[in-house]
Amino acid sequence: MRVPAPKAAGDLAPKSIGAGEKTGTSPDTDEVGTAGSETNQTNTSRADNANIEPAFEEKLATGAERGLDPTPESIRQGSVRMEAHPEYAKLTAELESKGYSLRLTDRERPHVVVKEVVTPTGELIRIEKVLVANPGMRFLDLEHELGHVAQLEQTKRPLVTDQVLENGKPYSGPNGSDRLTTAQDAVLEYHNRLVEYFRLKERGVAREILDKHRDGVRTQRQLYWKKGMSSGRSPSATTFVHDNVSDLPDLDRRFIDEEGL
Amino acid sequence: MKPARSHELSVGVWPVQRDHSGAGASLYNGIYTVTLNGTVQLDVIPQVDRSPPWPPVLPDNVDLCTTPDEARRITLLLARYAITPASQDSVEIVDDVTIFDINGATFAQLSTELEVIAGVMTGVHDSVDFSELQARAPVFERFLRERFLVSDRILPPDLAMLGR
Repeated sequence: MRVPAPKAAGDLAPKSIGAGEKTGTSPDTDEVGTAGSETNQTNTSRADNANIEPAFEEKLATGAERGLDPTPESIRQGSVRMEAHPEYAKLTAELESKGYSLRLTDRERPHVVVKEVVTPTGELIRIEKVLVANPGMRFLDLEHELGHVAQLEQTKRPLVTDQVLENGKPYSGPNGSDRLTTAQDAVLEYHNRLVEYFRLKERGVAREILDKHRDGVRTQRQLYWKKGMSSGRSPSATTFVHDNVSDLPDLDRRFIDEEGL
Repeated sequence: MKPARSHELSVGVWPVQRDHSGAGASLYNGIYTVTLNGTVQLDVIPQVDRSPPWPPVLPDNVDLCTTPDEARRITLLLARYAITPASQDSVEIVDDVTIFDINGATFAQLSTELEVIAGVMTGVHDSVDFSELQARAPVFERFLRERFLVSDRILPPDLAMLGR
């Protein structure tokens, strides 16, 4: 393994994010384990798995996490469907006050859009802000997306997720605001999952919910470190964390202390 | 955590050069990050220089990348799954990166398809539905269906996000 991976919280302290490790280590979780029998991590080649599952498209039609009917417990945990949560109206009103509209659809995954509409020369025409959610999804998943809203509203420099022309085609010129990169997205998602995990833990949600979110943090941690931080070899990524999600190293350290790698 | 999508697989195709600015952006020309269901990423990387040292080592500062070869090696090392052109179809494991080698002619077709799709992407979260690929990117659709999505190299958390 030639790419350094974070082994412990200390590796993610602000001063060490950029430094990284200079020697090879193995991944910090056992995610190298696969669904199949292949476990060899050396530089080897093998033939592809020739088994084709003809019905795999059906397996892709997985159900999103639907919210439960309202009960005192489902409301307390946030597993209730979002529309039935007592805070739903208040939160959506707050969202609107920040300039966001709420788009309810089953056609898209929940996410947040900050779209900059510009002229062909990159001059700003308007900003469109949307929180996309699935009808009937859990309130706690709405809270996750609201976490992204908070992130995008607090960046040191204005950051948009999309840049388009009036005709809807992408704008990829040099002008306009900073556009979210793949690396920044990996960092923000990891930060949001950490914040969410501790929120749910302190709330005392059901074990299976917490376990799933803990696994989600661990999975995203790998993507954060490689894609987001370039395995500690990107000073610009370190600066992005420092400027925008400066509590991330502390949250990461707390996660490792409480949950382990 | 983001719930899995309820209908079908979403496929984002993002040209990595758009993550970079100035003269450095062109170093990443032809490299695409494909994101499935908003979470599972595989990087499509043109011909990677495999001369020693191989496996390559990340430079101390990836921000100072100066050549296309270096950009491709960096992208490969930071990937979880990658697609590269090769003399024949195979799967190669380099460190913790699973590389799907596909023959050069197929890779060229696939890259052309991805270039078209990437041309309409407005941001890193933008995507098309998997069902659209059959008409718009048949070579890539077939790769996903016959090689990637059924591979036993897909990690369990990624399998879950793919609905498998």
